[in-house]
Amino acid sequence: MQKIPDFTSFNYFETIFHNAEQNNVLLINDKGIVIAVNDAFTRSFGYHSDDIIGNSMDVLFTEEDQKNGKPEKELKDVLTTGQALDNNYLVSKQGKLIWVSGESVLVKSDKGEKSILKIIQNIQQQKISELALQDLSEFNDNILSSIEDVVIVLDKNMKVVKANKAFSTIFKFNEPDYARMNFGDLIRPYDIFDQVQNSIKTAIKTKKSFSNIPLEIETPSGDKRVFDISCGNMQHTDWENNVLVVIHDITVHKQVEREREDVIGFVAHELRNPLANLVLCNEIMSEAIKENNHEEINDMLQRSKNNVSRLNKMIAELYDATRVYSGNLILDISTFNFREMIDEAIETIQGLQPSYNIIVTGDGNFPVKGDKYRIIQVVTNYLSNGIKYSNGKTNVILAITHNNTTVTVSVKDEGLGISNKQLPFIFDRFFRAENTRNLEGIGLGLYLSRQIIYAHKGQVWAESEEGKGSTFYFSIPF
Amino acid sequence: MKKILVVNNDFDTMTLLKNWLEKRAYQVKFTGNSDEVFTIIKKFDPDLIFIDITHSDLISTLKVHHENKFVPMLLMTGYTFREATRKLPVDDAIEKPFNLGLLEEKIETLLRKTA
Repeated sequence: MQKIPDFTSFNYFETIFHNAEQNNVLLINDKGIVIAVNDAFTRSFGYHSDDIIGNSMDVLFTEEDQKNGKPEKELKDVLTTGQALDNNYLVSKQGKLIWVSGESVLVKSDKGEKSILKIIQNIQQQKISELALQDLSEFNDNILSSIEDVVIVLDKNMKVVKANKAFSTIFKFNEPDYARMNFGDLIRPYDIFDQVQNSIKTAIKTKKSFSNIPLEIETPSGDKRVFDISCGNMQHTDWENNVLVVIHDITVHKQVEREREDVIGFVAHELRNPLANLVLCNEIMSEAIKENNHEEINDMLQRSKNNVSRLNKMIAELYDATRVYSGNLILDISTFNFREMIDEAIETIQGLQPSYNIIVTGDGNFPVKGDKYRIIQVVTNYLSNGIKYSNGKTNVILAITHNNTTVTVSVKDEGLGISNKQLPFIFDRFFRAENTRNLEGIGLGLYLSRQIIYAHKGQVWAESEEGKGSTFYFSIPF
Repeated sequence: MKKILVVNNDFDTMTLLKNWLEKRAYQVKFTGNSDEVFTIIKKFDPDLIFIDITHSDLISTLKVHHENKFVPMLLMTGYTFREATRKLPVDDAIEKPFNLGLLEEKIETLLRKTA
């Protein structure tokens, strides 16, 4: 027969007391003095049994807990109620906080002496992972609330289970008002063809994600903004039947897209003008050929040529502007005579517009280093602007001035002029002054000029008085 | 002889249209100046105004307020038709570059309406 251990014998308890690995056991008298500790305790708390026995249990508490009278209170609780729970941290000999869990019970000796048996477990590792988990969950919450996208968890009936802070920027509800609301009801006014709703329903049923459904929503602040809606299933979690909906604001992105569309539309319109002229030229020419009208044939040929070169110039400008915009303008640097360069530019313009009178003042008979043909491009652009916006006045004055370091060119016309409001923007891309809107051009000439001069480490600027004319300047270092 | 007023800002387009339309026995005047349009209309009394999209402000003024609001207006535009174009109070529109056969048809149709 198996021998049943004598549970009442002191030896049995002593064996447990000494050999317990998980349980730290202390015996404390009714004055709070430690009478005995087991090996598990000395291992956990770094004490030698001699260091602690005979000392007050107060040393096991933090200074703050001592100040708050915690040791006395615990003692009193056990002495009066016979028991107290320990779920706290205590201090090791090295001053380290150790999380413990356990209880204190009142024991009485045969002689009626009261002592306290404190049995606690070192739960430091558990507590660390628990705290880390708590940190992680706080961290996740912080991430969720700090992202601008709206993140919503929906259950299988499309009811809102959880949402982040951004939710209230789109829908006029705050936590906890939105809890259990139906997401379909929230977006129905904007989801005209129920596309989003149906997609989410399908996502819930088939456990397949979707992304990038655009939806315009009027936010509580009254703005109409465009959002991009994505939805994914929450797999591998306790919320397996739920879906995660992310709503991302793409309004700015859409605006850029619209602007680009506008610019392309505008450029296409400008390109179609010379194209329309070519169609007319060809038609008239074919009729002139039938009539053997040589004068008209020649006239139409010349006009065709002009319109082809107009088209070509616009396309070149557009291509240049794209290259300049992406930072790919490469200069072909050489040394050239400045005045000769100016004369070459004037010759080009005069060939196209013989009726205009371009007057040159100042001396330009000196060498300059730069990309000659790019600078000719700037000068012809300034001159053709002067002519284009001349409003019938035929004089354009080009002045060359210089000092030791820089040469400056100004082109002055007596034309329409530019208002003070518009003047700061005339060198920007696609700029067209309001009163010059009906004149041809894509609005890239001045932008290109500025970028070419900037590439030469020079400056561009303009002065103008509405109705009296404008003066455009550029200067480059020698 | 039917009279057509061409309003555009491209000198080449205007002179070429004038040449082409005159060969089709229309009397033509043109201008690129919005301010001039009203005086020309008064003197010339056109049966049709063939106007470019760049003068869209003028289109609304002519159609809504001016005494000649019953003169048919044909719009020319280099834009592929957009919402904004559709909203303009014109009688018909044609895209650039012109399909000249279609242009001839549209002009004839508009003039027949007023005849």
